[in-house]
Order: sequence, then C-alpha cells, then structure tokens
Amino acid sequence: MKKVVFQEVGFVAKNQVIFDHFSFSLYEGTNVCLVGNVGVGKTTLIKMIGENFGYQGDILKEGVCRTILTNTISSHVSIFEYLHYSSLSKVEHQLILNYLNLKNLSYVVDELSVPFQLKVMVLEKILSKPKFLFIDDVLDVFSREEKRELFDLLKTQEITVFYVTSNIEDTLFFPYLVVMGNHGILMEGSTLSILQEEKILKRLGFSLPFFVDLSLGLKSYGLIDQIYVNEKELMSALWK
Amino acid sequence: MEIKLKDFIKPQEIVALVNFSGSFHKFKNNSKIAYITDSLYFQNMLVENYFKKLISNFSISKFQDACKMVLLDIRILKANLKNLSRTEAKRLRFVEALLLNSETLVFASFEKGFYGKDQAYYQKLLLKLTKYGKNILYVTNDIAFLFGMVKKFVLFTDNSYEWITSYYHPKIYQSLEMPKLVSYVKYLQSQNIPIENYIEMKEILKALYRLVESRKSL
Repeated sequence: MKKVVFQEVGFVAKNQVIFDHFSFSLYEGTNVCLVGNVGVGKTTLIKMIGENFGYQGDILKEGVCRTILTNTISSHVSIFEYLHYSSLSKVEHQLILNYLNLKNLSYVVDELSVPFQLKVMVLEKILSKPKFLFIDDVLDVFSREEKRELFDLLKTQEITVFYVTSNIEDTLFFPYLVVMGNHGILMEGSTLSILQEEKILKRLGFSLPFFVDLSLGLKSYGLIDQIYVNEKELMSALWK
Repeated sequence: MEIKLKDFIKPQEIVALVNFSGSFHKFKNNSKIAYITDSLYFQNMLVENYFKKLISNFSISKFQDACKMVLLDIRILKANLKNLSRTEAKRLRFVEALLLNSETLVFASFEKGFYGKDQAYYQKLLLKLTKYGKNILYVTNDIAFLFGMVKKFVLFTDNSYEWITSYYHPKIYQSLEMPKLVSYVKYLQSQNIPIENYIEMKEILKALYRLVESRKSL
C-alpha cells in the first residue's frame, strides 16, 4: 500500500510559527478531509506537496502526487488542446466526454464558467494518473451533487484524496477527518466520531454538519440513539 | 436588463441579492457606497501607506477600532497588500468601508472562507450596523448564511428580478442549492409530516419532538 508521510514537518513565516512537528500518514485508498481555522497553514501544507520552499522535516511521497490550489485556468486554449485530447486513448476520451458532458471541446478554457474550468483542471490531473490528489479549499463553486460526482470519479480512478476545506458539510464525504489548530493536529479519526466532539469543535469555531447537529439534538431529546447523516435513515429511526 | 443597485437599497436594512452575476471588483469605495468583495489587493504597498493615501485624516486608533470590529489583527498595518490572504483582504475591505463611513455597504460572498463562529459574529455585526444607520446589500448564493439576518431578497433570473420574502419560495431553489435545513423540512413535508417552514434548528427539534411524541401517544 502506497502512502504519503509528513514527518515532523514545520513551517515558519515572517518569524511566526505556522505549524511545527506536523506528522501524518495518508494511505492509499483512504480519503482524508482536513479542517482548521484561518491561518493554521492548510494551504501551505498542500503547497508543500508541490514544492519545497524551505520547510522543516520531511515529506515522503510514494507514487505520483498532484495538487489543486485554484479553481480557474489562465490558459487561452481550447479544452481539446489543454487536455492534449488527440494524444489520448479511447478510454480517456470517454472519461473526458462523460465528465464534461460536452460533444464539442473547442471552447476556450479561460472563457468557461469557473465550475467548468475546475472540471477541466480535475481532468488534467486525472490524466497524469496520480495516486494521490491534494485539493485546497476550491470546490465551493461546485454544488453538493457536483462534489459527490467528483469524489466518485476520483474513486473509480483509484486516486486517493486529501482535501482541505472550510465547509464543514464537506467533511461527510470523507471517512477520515483531521482537525488542525495550535500549530499541529488537534484531533483525528473517523469523521463521525470526530464530529461528535461537539464542544471541542464549537470552541474552535466550527459549526457541525446539519444532520450531525440535528442528530445530536434529537439524541439529547431521547428520540434517537446514534448519528444519521441523511434524511431517509433519520426518518426511519424517528418513526420506526 | 440594466440594473441599478440603488433600486435595491432599503434604508437601515439588509437586502440580499441572490443569483446575482454582476461583479464589483472594479468599483472604487467612497463615502456613499463601499464594496466589500473577495478580490485580492494587487498593489505592492504597505497597508499603512495605502490607508494614508485613501483617507486624508487617517488615524491609527480609528483603524485599530475598525480592525477589532471586523476581527482583523492590527499588525496587518505593516503587511504588504499583495501578500494578504483572501480572508484578510476581505476583512481589510470591510475596514475601508468603516473608515470611509460609507452610507451603503455592498458585500459580495463575504461569508466564504469563514467558519461558523466567525460567520455568526459577522451576521450580528451586520445587523448592528443597520441599527447605526447603514444600508446593506448582501450578494450571495449561500441562503443558509442569510437565515436570521435577511428578510428581503431580490432573486435574479435570466432577464428579470423578483422581490422575495420567504426562504421557502420555490423559485429560489430553481437556480440555487437548497440549504440542508430547508431541504430536510421539504423532505418531511413530502412524507406527509405536518411540519412548518422553519429556519432555525431549535424550532425543528421541538417540532420533531412534538410530532414523534404525539404519534407515540396515539
């Protein structure tokens, strides 16, 4: 099983410690979501995957890693050219056409809507066949369905995702959650178990995903005894 | 369709513009109107010098007060504009609006990038500003952020706009994503559960408790 390992990674900017002794292993096949307040160094962590700009510690990468740090493309060429379509296999052609749901790839990428530009960028990353994809907080231009579609696509391509977000609802797409703060990792574990640490999360300034919040409220009313993350399961638990 | 922002300004109120595709990035702030957008500053200049140029009688203590109000660290004064993060830039534009004492404040997706606690703080701050006489236009597609803060929306469609006063108006969700709270209430209603169009979690909790308990007692 391949992995990416952050070993005692530290970063100081303008004489200020952003984080130190950050240690974490991302294993192939387990998608991870990371949340943390503004300024804790989430974007810096993602940037570290792409380049070494003077951080301490080591990042060991087994397998190809790619990053997405923005949701727009500044290149004024067609989708066809941007993705080097003519040099790709039939399977890859199908992948592109299905995901973009387009018949014509002559649209110029920097003139596309932002969500479309992001889709093209995702395809570009997928075509480089990475094992790991590190995504910064740039998916807010996608609807929930578009996010689900993206994560499903990455799963079928066997790409492991490390996603940094400020949108607490997005954490529910991931089985494993890391909470960052105070120069390092504050909590990590299965997403649902971490999200039940309501007091700690609220003290850190996080709200809870709607269904987790609702389930915890209903638990305190004695109506249910566990967390449900969708309406159908919650409905049958309430009216069993 | 020609749109004039002044048509949507209500004195001392917050009006939300939803599904609005206009951009304010090129507009300059002044004492009448200020635009708090999410665009970065590109000037290679210290924040302090920028403000001294912008405001003739610039006062550090007023700057400090404004920073405190928008949760911005005063040390930003010595930072370079072009190195600011997106959330710092947004907060700094908010400071600009306060120091210019602009009558109308136009916010564009200000809430993005902030966590629950900060978002709740800004909701309260905006409401407070209306009590101090400010008119606010808030442009966003995040309806959940508007809960409890906004009572009037202007919904934009291809070639027209419409004033709306209910978070449950079906037209809003033809073009925008429904907040989880609204979609859950709508789901319950579709299952013939008699629940009202609530916009607060505690109201939903109480209603569900009443409904489940009353069914048990039948």
